[in-house]
Amino acid sequence: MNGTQTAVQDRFVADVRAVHDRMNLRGLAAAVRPDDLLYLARRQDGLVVLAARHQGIPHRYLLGIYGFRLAQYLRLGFASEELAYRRALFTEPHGGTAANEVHVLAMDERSGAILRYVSLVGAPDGAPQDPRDAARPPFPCEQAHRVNLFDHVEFDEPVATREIWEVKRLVHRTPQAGDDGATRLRVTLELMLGFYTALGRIRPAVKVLVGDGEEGVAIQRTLRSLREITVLEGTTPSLPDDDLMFPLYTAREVVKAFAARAPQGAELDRLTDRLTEALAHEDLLHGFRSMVGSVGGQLRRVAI
Amino acid sequence: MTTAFELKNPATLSDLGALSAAAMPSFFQLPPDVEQLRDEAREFAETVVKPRRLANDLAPHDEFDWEIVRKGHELGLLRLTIPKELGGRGVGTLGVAVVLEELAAVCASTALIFGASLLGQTSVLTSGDPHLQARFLPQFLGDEPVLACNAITEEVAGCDLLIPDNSPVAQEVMTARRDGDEYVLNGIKRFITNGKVAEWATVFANLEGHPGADGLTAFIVPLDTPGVTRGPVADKMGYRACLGTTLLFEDVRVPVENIAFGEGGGWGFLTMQSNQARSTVAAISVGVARGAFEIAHRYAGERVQGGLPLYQHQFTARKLAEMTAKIDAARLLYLQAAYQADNMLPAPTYGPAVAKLFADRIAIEVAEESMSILGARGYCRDYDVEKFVRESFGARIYEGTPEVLALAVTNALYGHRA
Amino acid sequence: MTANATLLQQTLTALLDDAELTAILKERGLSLLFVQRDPETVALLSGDGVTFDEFPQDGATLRFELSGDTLHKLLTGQLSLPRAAAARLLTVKGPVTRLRQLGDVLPRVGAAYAAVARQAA
Repeated sequence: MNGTQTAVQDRFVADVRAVHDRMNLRGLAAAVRPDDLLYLARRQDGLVVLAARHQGIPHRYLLGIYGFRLAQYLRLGFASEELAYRRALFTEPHGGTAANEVHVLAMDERSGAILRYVSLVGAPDGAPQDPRDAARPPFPCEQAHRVNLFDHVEFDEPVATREIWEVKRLVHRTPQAGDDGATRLRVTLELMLGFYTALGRIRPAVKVLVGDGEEGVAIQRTLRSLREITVLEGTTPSLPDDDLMFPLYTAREVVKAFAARAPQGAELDRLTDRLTEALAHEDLLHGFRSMVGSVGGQLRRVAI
Repeated sequence: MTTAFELKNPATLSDLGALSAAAMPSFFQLPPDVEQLRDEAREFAETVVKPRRLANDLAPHDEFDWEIVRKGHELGLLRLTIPKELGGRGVGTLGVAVVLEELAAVCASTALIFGASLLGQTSVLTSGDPHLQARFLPQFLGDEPVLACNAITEEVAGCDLLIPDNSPVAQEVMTARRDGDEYVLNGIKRFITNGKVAEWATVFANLEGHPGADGLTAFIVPLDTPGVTRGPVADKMGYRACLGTTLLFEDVRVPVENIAFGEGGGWGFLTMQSNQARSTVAAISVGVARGAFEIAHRYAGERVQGGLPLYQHQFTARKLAEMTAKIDAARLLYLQAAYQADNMLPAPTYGPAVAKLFADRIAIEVAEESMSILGARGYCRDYDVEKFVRESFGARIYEGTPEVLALAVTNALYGHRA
Repeated sequence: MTANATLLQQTLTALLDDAELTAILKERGLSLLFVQRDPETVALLSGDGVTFDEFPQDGATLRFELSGDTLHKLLTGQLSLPRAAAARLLTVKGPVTRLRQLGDVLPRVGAAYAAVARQAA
């Protein structure tokens, strides 16, 4: 690519990011079909957290959400600028309205900006019941690590494919001037509360969460709220060069796939209670540490 | 044997925009989605626009009612023509025209705010350039309203750019000079609807060293680019709620990729855009005529004179009958022209020009007759008719004056370059 | 260079082997009629195959009226469809909004055209 082309590409990426930085999705919560709204919390200061099934979100707002994902992944260097430019993308490509996905967002109601986001991706309809079935379509993390997680990870009780969900695209907005540590922590806790409350409302109940991340970053964070996590050692994840997200596995250090038992029933209720208590605590950091201490997450490693 | 008048290049039906016989509807039945859109627009006009139209008309000439735009945006009026896969409503020219008639039947100013923004978007939409579309269309998907505008007119340039036979000489005074991977724009645009409030504009300028229409080029310019100044707002006799503004461009640097239709492609695009847009302006004129007529119709049904309601007086009856016939005829012409624009690329010249020529004229006639039916009341502001009278003169200025349209029609008839 | 009638016919015939393309056309209910002037050549490409030199009775979804030179430039990527239309080198008849559905169709036609042209050379 010559200098002019690079400059054009840089400007394209900057424009796409700028468009989404200014995007106002204030009406999203009201626009979600009520049956598909799994969680909604409105705080006095304008913080809104919502979780909604993909199919209940109007197309226009989905474009806003996938645009946010693309913009933030471009910012982080986890999406290919060249491919985004060549394909003239202004949103992350997505599976139309049929995707089996739950979007969890923390938003600022006044500006309509997404502050923090995480997604849950379920198996497609019609996938084989047994997750060990070779015909089962792999979850995105399994595809990148070229592995069937369930050939390597054991659980106490049997798990059906539809009871497994992948945690994806945990990402926050470009830091804004005036953001302080306490505000960021509060938004994190609110998002976690929304995430776990929504998780408890998915049917059939979620038994296992899968995903991948750097051990010192994403997996360490996961331990704050999940008790039993199994990390796979020895995979070499990658995505094809023509996959928009291929830098996810070239820009980060060692990325490991994991599977974790999802909290259910009383355990899930305890976790959401702890999150609520932490948010109500005068000293947010203290409340957060106490919540993490009560979880006592354990890491297990499986080498393949 | 020769006739007294011999047509050298008689136009064929196809040249005038006729499609194959199978494709032409025998009568006009709006598609269900357009019908639904019309109903939504009608409700918006009645419940949101109508209560504010008098206040907006009386407000200072440079005040802008964002609340109306916000409510219209909630309805999707600012993304009407953006394809559904890009988050828009995916409506064609027919849908736009029908919506604009509904808005103009209540307030032509409001119709023009939305119409001018949609017009500004056409460069990005019809260029087919996915990079331009990715950079300049997602703005319209959010909940905050964003407007676009189309900047053609200058102190000494405007309508002449729309006359096909002017192509060797017509040009903008505004210039664009290539400098590395940017263009530097210099010039002044006048009477740019939405110029005061738009986020970006389609700006027409002549490439330096390329005089005439062949040098005309369309640039997409974010209006917060350094060097752009939003100048004074014109103090107009009508259309007061939409702001016609002077835009100054002083060494405004625009990246090379912000061109729609390529260097020198501005002329072709401009004529294509005009032909497409004229049916929608005709619809605004029909709306103005209808709005005025509806007031006269109601008044003539209620007002008793000499023991009879006005409409039973033969002279008034004749007026009312002719007014409604004109409106219906103008509507059929614009519907046909809009249908043609949705089914022919580039849109034909003849049909939209005829539709606009006729609708612009009858708007003035119907508004004036409506005013006369109301007598003294028609001359007072709080009866609304005088607003329709003032606004009836507006549409015959933009997107082609009667003189320009007459040339377009006769050129099409005689088979000139359309 | 212009897209002469033989080249156009060979290109469209070659496209019959592109099962994915015919599936796309079928799924979208698209039929494309090329009416090339100088000399007049008529070719219809649809999910059901290709026909030449006759106008389809039910019409086509989109009808392209253009010269051989313009067709050549379009298929070789020297000219985009919107620019051709703006320059009055091309007339499309049919629902204009459906032109967007050709985004992944015309490049395939162009690739087949290039291959056929290479072979002919």
